[in-house]
Amino acid sequence: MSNLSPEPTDRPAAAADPRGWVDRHGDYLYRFALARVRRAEAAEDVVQEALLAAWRGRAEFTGGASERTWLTAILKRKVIDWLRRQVRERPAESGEPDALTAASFTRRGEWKVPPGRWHRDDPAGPAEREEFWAALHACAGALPGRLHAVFALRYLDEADGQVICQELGLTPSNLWAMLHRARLRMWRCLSARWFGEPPPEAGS
Amino acid sequence: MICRTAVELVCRSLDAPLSAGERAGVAVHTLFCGPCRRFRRQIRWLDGCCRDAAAADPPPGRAGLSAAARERIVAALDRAGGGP
Repeated sequence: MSNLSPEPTDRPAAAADPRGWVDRHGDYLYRFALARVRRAEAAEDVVQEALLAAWRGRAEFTGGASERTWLTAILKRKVIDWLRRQVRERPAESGEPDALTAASFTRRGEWKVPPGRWHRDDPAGPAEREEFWAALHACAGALPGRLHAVFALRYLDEADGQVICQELGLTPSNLWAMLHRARLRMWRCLSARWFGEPPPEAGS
Repeated sequence: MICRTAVELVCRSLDAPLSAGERAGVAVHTLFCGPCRRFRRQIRWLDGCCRDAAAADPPPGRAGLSAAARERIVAALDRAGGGP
């Protein structure tokens, strides 16, 4: 329905108007959530949670920020909570060494295939940027669930590192190990998808 | 320092400060190792992109709430007293 109309201009909120929130901001909020949780059903759930929380907390909205900014801030907290749950509730990876790391380096710890030169520059222009963001999100979406959640949190959650570890039930070493695995996968995936280099690993 | 270690430390440096010894080790290794220098450039660039993406508006795209999801959300809001 409102997919067909242009994005409404942001405006300061008048009286709390939850149906209006859904109409004006539902799609935006959904896309915000989807980019970070990766699954449609989960995105719908967090948007619903956020709007309910916004409704219950409507008295706190002084109208200083715009409606969309306020709703997005609430949604962001819900997304962070969702991502944290993914990390806490999914089974931990086995303690075995990371397969991608093992495949990328010889036993002596040298590159099996050195990183290739990236053949594209930074995305130039809106069309390239959109294509790039799509590649970035696709690569993030391809991460295993728990790694993806940790990676997404790294960029979304501005909390202190110690707080993050506590919330996730991880030691700093655990966290760095997971981020390392996620980063290597992201790097390899984007090398292939965007920068046009085949994955620098002999025989995947 | 071997490449695998340098790569691990370069990645970790994006999330937490390295010790002086670790920093020195990476500096010396990358002085002589082109592949690791390239990796470091690329992974730092990727880190920058991810920060930008986190701060940016979601891509316009065609995704949106399905009609069913809208109804569910509106119904939940109604139940919570947010209806007309």
